[in-house]
Amino acid sequence: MQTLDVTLDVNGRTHSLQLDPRTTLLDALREHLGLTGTKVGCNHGTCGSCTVHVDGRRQLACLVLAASAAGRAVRTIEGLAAADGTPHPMQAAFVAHDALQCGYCTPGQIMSAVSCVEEGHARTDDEIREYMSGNLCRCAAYPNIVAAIADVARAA
Amino acid sequence: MDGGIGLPVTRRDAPGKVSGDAQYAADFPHAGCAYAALTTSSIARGRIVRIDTAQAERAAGVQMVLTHRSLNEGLGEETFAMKGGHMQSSFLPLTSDEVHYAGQIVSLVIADTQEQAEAASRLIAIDYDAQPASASMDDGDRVEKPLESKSIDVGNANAALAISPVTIDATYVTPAQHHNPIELYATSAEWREGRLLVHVPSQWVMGTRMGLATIFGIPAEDVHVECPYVGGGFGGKATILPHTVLIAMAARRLGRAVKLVVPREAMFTVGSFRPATRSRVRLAAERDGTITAVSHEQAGQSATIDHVSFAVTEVTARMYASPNIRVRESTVATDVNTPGFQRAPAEAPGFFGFECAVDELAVALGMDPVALRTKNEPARDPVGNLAWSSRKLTECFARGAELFGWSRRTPEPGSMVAEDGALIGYGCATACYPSASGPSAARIRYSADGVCIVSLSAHDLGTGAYTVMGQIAAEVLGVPNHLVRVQLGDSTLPSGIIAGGSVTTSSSGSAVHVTALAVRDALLRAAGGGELVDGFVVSPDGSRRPATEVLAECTSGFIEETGVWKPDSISDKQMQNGLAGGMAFSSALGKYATYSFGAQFAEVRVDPLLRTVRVHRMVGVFDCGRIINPRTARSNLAGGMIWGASFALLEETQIDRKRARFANTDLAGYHFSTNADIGEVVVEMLDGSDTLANPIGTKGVGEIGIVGMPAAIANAVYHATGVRVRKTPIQVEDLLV
Repeated sequence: MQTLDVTLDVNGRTHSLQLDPRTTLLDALREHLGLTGTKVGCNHGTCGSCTVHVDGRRQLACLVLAASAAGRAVRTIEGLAAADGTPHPMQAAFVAHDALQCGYCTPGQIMSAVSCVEEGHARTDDEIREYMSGNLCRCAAYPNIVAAIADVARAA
Repeated sequence: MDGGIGLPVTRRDAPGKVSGDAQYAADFPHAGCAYAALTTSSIARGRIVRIDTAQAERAAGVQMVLTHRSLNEGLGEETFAMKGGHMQSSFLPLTSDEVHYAGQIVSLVIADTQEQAEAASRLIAIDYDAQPASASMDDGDRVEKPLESKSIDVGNANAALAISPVTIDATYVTPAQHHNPIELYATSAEWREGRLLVHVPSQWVMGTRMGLATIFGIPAEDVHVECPYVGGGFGGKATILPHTVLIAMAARRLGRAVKLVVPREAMFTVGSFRPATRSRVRLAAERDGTITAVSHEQAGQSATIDHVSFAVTEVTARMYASPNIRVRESTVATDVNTPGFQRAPAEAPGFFGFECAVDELAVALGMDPVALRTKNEPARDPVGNLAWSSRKLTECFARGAELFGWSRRTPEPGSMVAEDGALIGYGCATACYPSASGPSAARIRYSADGVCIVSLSAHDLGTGAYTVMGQIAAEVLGVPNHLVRVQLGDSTLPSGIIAGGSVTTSSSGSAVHVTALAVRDALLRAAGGGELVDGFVVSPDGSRRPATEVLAECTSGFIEETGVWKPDSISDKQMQNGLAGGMAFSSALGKYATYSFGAQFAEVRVDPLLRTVRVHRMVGVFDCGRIINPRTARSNLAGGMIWGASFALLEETQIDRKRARFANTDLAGYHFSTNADIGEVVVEMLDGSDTLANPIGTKGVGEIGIVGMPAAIANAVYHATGVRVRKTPIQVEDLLV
């Protein structure tokens, strides 16, 4: 099998992997690094559950080849809490507002929500709704997701 | 006491879900795991005449290719859920060359990596002998088959319809829909010394265990189904999907763990779906709004391979006081994968037509739709004359109307206009869902360190069961919330109930309740009598000491009890079958008629030119008995209401009728609500325990949220535009008239 040597920087740690060139960033995280917090929901960029940060921007890990993420800073849900384990304010807000039910889309929602605030797209509830609509929640925790993000945005 | 019944305790599973620690089926590591990829049939009916797997078998990393030619193992007899089995379908793909529906699994490739399996699966060449097929119940050659056992006749509805001054006669249709949980179907299977370990998203680990044991001819104890979290179920993960059997079989043959994650496109045909419906509703009334006849005839889409029926009319027949009631059910077989349970399987589509017809009757009478419903509220079940265990629908409407501001509504369609020119529509509808229950067990260990562990193989689909089960135990034992642990979703635990039919809290919650009482009694015996008050044993002489002190004196350092609860109407034999993983439910119609109720309101805004519909806000007020946790219940009900908004305006599995297959099989083509589609959602739950339903006084919460919403929105669209749309989803083109 043809493989590529790929060095990934994930949550501040460097990982050297030998990967099939077809491997997506999503599968590299989940199947090769055991970082299963990033979820698979469609594999074609329609649901948002695999949202991670690449060089500080939200991206869909299912649409990124792992090899193309080499040398870039990847952050996943596992890398969001502080070093001492204190949850990120967005994680705490999701718990406080009951902004999840089954929890499967939640890591992607949170990664997207952190970006949404950082991008300055959380100034109103309607803006949050618009800029969070790439992250589907079939349980439909949407009103609580909006409340959680608005809370964090106000504090920021 | 910070963790008892009625308190808005924070979701116990939330920290693990926001950190990424919560492990779903596809997240469990299996050492040396091989990966599987599916191919599915490109025709809807016929036979496979040639299948060439040579290229795939030679491809890099491929370990095995399974087709109907290679699958010749003697498997135990299992059937599908509606015949008393555990499978989604009675037909197991790869057991013959027959193709019964488009998207049927026709081969399975197993390779060392995911990428290799997927690439090799594309190398399989198949020739078919295709036969004509129909996937739509509207195709001309389809035959409607009456289900006479489902008919109900009270008085003479036809006669009343003929002589009443105001009548409605209309037909409403709803399309096929798919669950589309965000978590894909996924199965990992591994055999260890003849024992099978399965990670699969499951709403029924005990049923899955029993079914797989039967199929593989091994004792149930030798099957371990582990599934602590389910990434959305909605009915789609209640039964064993065929690929789980195939993956377990492949793992046994290879002597290696095998994992399959089903692609989104295949989710539409390897599992079940909500079948299409057609409802003819006829209503008659006196001019003062007294309903004189209710007639509801529903035809539901079924499958050629399995007969499936979701009879809603036994519920709609009981909604209004009418001396004359006539309902009929029928099914129409189509060449599709076997339909199945999807959130409020019968009620969500059935109440769309029925509650739209009630709105049409209100318009015909010139009467307020809330007043019409309230006027015809039945004091007793109008079919069987049973007393209601509780029915506070009138209070739901009164409170809902107040919360919503219904009195601001002017009845004339198009008479309310927003500042931006949008047409405003107000609509409402009744929601109802049968409150059933079944046998369940539970185990509770209360230890000297104060920790209370509640264990049972029930499921938390996002419904709140992890939180709620602990609260029920904490209520009895007075344990602080931070010391309560709950274990669910594992077939090695005492038998919980299937997460379906909104039964978990009533059934497994009752089991936790009686088990907690047993622990309390054992504790008080150990203490030599007294009472348990807020975690302290209070002796008859008035002295108090912490329960943990008594527990420390027990030789084991804990007290552990396993308890069982069943509804009265379930026999001991049915209970044993249920606890082993069989289906055992009480009916909503026993000594009393036991249902959850709701009044649902919607405000829509319709663009006057483009005719786009937005759901501006929704209000739901519910009578679901005692609410164990208002926080998780509210989220569940709000989620259901948003499902209802999706149902009304977005959801449809489109059918390519020429090729007899589902056409929009991904999340770009199959639409459901995104965040931007949803405005304000207000949920209230009426106080009140229904102890006639079960010892903890609960009724079902999980499904009723969706039930009235599609009709409430359709009725609001009529109010905004004057256009009566008798189908879902309601789309722009329906309003361009």
